[in-house]
This record gives sequence, C-alpha cells and structure tokens, in this order.
Amino acid sequence: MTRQELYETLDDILELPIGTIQGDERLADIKTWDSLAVVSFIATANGLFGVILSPPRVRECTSVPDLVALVEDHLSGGAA
Amino acid sequence: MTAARIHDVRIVGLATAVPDRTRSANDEVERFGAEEMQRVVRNIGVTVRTVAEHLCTSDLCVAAGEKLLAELGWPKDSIDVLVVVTQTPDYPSPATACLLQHRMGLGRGVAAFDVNLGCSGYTYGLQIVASMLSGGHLRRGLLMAGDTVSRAASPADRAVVPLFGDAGSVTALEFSAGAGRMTVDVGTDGAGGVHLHTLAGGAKHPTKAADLVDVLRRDGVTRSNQHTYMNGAEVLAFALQNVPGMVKRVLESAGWSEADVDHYVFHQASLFMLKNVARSSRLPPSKVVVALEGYGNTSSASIPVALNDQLVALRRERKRLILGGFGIGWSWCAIALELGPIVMPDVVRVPDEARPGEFESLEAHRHDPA
Repeated sequence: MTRQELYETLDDILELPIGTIQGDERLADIKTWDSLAVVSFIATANGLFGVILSPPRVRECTSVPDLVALVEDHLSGGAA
Repeated sequence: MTAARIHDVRIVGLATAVPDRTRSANDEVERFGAEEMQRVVRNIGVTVRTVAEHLCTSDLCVAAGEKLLAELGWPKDSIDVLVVVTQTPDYPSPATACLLQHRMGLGRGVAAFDVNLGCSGYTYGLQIVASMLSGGHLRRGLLMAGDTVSRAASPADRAVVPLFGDAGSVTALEFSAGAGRMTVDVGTDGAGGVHLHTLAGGAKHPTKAADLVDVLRRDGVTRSNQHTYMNGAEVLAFALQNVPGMVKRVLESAGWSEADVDHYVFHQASLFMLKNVARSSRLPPSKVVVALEGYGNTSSASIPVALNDQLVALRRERKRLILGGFGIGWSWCAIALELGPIVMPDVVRVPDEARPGEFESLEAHRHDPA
C-alpha cells in the first residue's frame, strides 16, 4: 500500500472527502478523530496489515505522521 | 484454553423476553447530536433497542421461563438444575437463582446458583448446565441468562447508551443418552478486567454517597462510579487477538471444517465488532448471525436473542452451529453443537412495570420518617 492509499484510507475512517488528508495534519484539528475513529483505525490496520495496534499507542498519536509511523513500526516488527 | 466434550445432553427449548419499552437513536439526538448519532448507528447497527426502566433481569427470565415450560409441558418439579447467568442480579445477596426457584415454583431439590458473567455468559452457562446433566443423575436443567445493562449506562456515555439493551432468556436442557455432543473451548484473561467494569458496589469499593454522583472523567465522559465503564478500543483489540483462535480451536476439537457450519452465532457486541470478528476469523459474513436491530447488545442474553430472532428454522430443522461468547472479564467460551428441532416460542414482550421486590416490605427494612 502506498502512502497516498493509506491517506485515503484515513479519509475513509475519518469520514472526510477523499484527498483531504495530505499527511501532515494534527489529529486535534480533525473533528472526527475520536473514540470511534480510534477503533476504526485499529480494525482497518488489522484488516490491511494483519497487525493489532495497541490502543494506548494509537491514543498517544497526535498527528497523521504519528499514525503512519506506528503502523510502519508494527510492520517492521519494532512495536511491542 | 481448555477444550471439553459434553455428551448425552440435548437442548430441547429456548425462549427469550424483552421489555415492551424501546428507545431509538432519535431519542439520543438531543444529547449527542444528529450527525454524531448517524455515525454511531452506522457503526453499531442499532437504531432501536429494548430498555427496562422498571423490569429486572429476573422478571424477564421468569416471563421467558413460564412461556417455555408451558410449551414444553414440563412439570415444575421435574427441574433439577437452575443456573442464572447475570451481572444485574436482583440483590447483592442472596443469589437470584434461589429467589427464582421459589418464584417459579420449582421443587426444593433443585440445584440453583448464579454465575457472574456477561458477554461470554450464555455459552459458559450452557457448558455448566450440560456438564451437570451429562452424568445422568440430574435429568433436566434450566439456564436463565439475561441482563438489564441499559440501566447501568451513564446517560452521557455515547459509547454505551445507544448500544446496550435489556433481555432475559431461558434454555431448557435434558439428559438424553446418545444425544449429540457439545464441544467447548473456554478461556479467561483477567488482565483485561480493567477495560470493562463497574467500580462501585462490591467489597473493594462499597457504594458511598459520592459514588452516585455523575462526574466528568478524564476520558471526557460524565459518569458515576455505579455506571459501566467500557474502553471500546481495548474490547476490539481483545476480540481480534482471541476470537479467531477460539473459533479455530473449537472447529478442530469438533472435527469440523468451516464448511460444515451452518451458522456462527456470536455475542452481539456491535455490528462493527461482528464484522471484524468475521473478517479476522475468515468466516463467510453470510453465516454470521446479526440480531442487533430492535434489541441492542443485551449482554448474556444476546446469543439466545439472536437464535430466537434470526434462526426460527430451528423449530423444525437441525443446524450445525458455533456459539461464541466473548467480552467482559476478559472471558470467552465457544461451543460447537448440532441444534434443533427445538421448542422456541416467539420473543415475549413484557410490560415494563415495576414489580415489588421480595425484601423491601420486610419489617427489618422499614423505618419511621425522621
């Protein structure tokens, strides 16, 4: 999956028009980044990559780059 | 993960009862907003749910029990076992099962006790009653599983209010030499207890006046210490980690392949959860029963409600089923079994009226106004 496709997946999770997420957004600025979006993000990551993200680690993320880094960290085997 | 096989017991009937009172997603719009409720409904798959303002779990189970015993034609003194699975008992003590032995007019020889489980409670209860009957010394048993969890939800908690509904159920089992087997996979991980719990009301945290007060918490939700706390992300992570393995193991223990199963009937946690459980377990979505609309997540009653609402063919046909409970505890239990034909009346709708409790009128609890 390309970075752009991942951003479009985030658009879908956050119920935003495709193309909204550009990759440098702060999550606090996105109204729909809430508990529903957190569980959707965990489920989507599981479906796409087979990983089970730690809920506290997802909640610690403050930006889209943080979310991307968390997924990539799991895929590289670096996350607990 | 413990696997077990239980022989010589069959399920002969099942009934469920719900309050006649319902709440819809529209009823929550004023508090949570229309746009937000649309998001929530798309996620959980519930627009209408059954709620009890007055009825207790026991009232719903009795309504279901009276209906089922009448249709089965079972004399009340023929019951040897009564297990009540609930997290919303009538009183902290004694066990609701003891009160229901008396209220139902069952014989004094009945073994009656409560089991404190929720999401996994129905399958746990089936395993317990079936195990007690399988030796043949006890012949007939009733499993009553139900909860009134909507009453434990903070009205301000968007994660639980639109989701939780109330229901009671009764399942009748009897010893039957040569009857098909139940294959069970069961497990527990108490490390997850913290993610779905009620703080006040037990010995660790007896209820004080302050526990009744709604307070804005650091997670942004206003709730009292008597309300249910649920961390939905942790529930999902638990389900993704444990349910696929549970399903795989119970299939293997039963000697079944996925294609041998007619239906998977899981605890009706939410539509989102069921979709993800099916996906992560690699199950055909068409085989995964969904019965959330009209009821909500009814905790320990959700599997029998799903059977009663969606699998009416069980009245005349035999089906291969995987029943799977998972959740609060963390606790899980799956059962592979062949079920049907069974006696299964339509869902009973019970007027949501207050029924006096057994103990309130006791002289010891009465006092003169100060």
